[in-house]
Amino acid sequence: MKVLLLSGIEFDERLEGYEELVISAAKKNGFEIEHVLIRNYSLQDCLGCLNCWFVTPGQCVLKDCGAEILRKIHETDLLIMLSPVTFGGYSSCLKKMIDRVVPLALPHIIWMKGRECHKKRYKKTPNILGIGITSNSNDEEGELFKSLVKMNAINLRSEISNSILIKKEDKLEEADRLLNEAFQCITAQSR
Amino acid sequence: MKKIIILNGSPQRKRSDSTSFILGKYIIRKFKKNEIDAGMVNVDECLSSVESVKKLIDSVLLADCLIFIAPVYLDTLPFGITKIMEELHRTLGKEKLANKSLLSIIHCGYMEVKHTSIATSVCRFFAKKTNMKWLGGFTLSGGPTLIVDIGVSRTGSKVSNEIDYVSAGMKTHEPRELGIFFKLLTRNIWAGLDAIVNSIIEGRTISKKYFGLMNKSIFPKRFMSMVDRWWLNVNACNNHAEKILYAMPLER
Repeated sequence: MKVLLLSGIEFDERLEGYEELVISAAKKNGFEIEHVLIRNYSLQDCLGCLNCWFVTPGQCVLKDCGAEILRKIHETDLLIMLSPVTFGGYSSCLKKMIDRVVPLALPHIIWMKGRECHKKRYKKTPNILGIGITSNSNDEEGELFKSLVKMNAINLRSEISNSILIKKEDKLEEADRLLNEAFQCITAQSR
Repeated sequence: MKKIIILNGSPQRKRSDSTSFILGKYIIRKFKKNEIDAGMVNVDECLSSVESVKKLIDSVLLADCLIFIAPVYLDTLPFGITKIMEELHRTLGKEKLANKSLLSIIHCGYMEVKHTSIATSVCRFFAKKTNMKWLGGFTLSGGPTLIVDIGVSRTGSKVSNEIDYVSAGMKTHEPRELGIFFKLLTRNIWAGLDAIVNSIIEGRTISKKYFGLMNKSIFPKRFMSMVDRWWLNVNACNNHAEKILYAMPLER
């Protein structure tokens, strides 16, 4: 299974270790992992012009590395979104890329799981694993992060979605255990 | 209340017909009528340079109330406003933002208003983390399809100097006359905004019933087929065949 790690961690020495941890846990579980550290890319943010629906369908008007990352998202089987939980949502670094996946959808609206969502442009959609880095005092924010990942999975039309929260206070072994559990869970579900 | 800053989180930075802009402009008019200093900042334009971010942070320090107006992008706030929230939290932190008030107005393009709940919660957590006083979250749905047009006819669209930082290059629309049916449909939006603005001016807590005004889904589900047709019309305007609308450029 092909895995893409989309990391929304800004330059921050205290958090960069988690990227390594995810990569090694994925390899241990037999996944073929590729990583995109968004901080290293000069990415423009979405203009909200909707040209990717009506003028150049399926393509963003911004000519930068966004198109390359979008192709990676389209081709992967499992998309891992790693981000510090920021007020219950994604960090702005990750959100910059997430905003730009609109070309993967069509403008038409349908009902899925009792909610509105867009029709998918491509038959294949990636499964989603959201990993939020949080601290002990932010349980409510963690719950919001989980529901956000769930809603994103409906919007991106993923078949399987899962999310885990890694507490900063916990030891790395505990984080490793959680990651292994999540990967095993996804492997079992996708069979 | 002396000074109010509205942060317009819409990434449609060069447009004066974005829903966020229209709602912001309507609120500013209301405040100005009551001789209250209110200004709107377009966050995406603000983020283009370090100086303008600094300028924004300085003006936030002087403000008594912040109003976030933002659309929902992929179930939560778009990049720009998230970045500004991070910046405000990092530079001003708990002490300097304490005792200021925060109100959020979140709108989404879907017909169901529940899609705005996560974005509203994010704003609420921001208020909690920075010790700001949370006034509440105002939500509305069906943003770009109809409300924009109605908004233009209700608030006018001439971009004038009364709004701070707004760039000069915005395109302007002629106000349009719309049928009584659409005015009836959106009357709750304007009534709700009026009530909220009045509560802020008078320093009262905003009653929950005003937030509830908008939380009803204003369009029936059947309306969606109409929207779909509208989109196909947009496509026709761009001289595309239906086949091109469903293009798959990433498929090898």
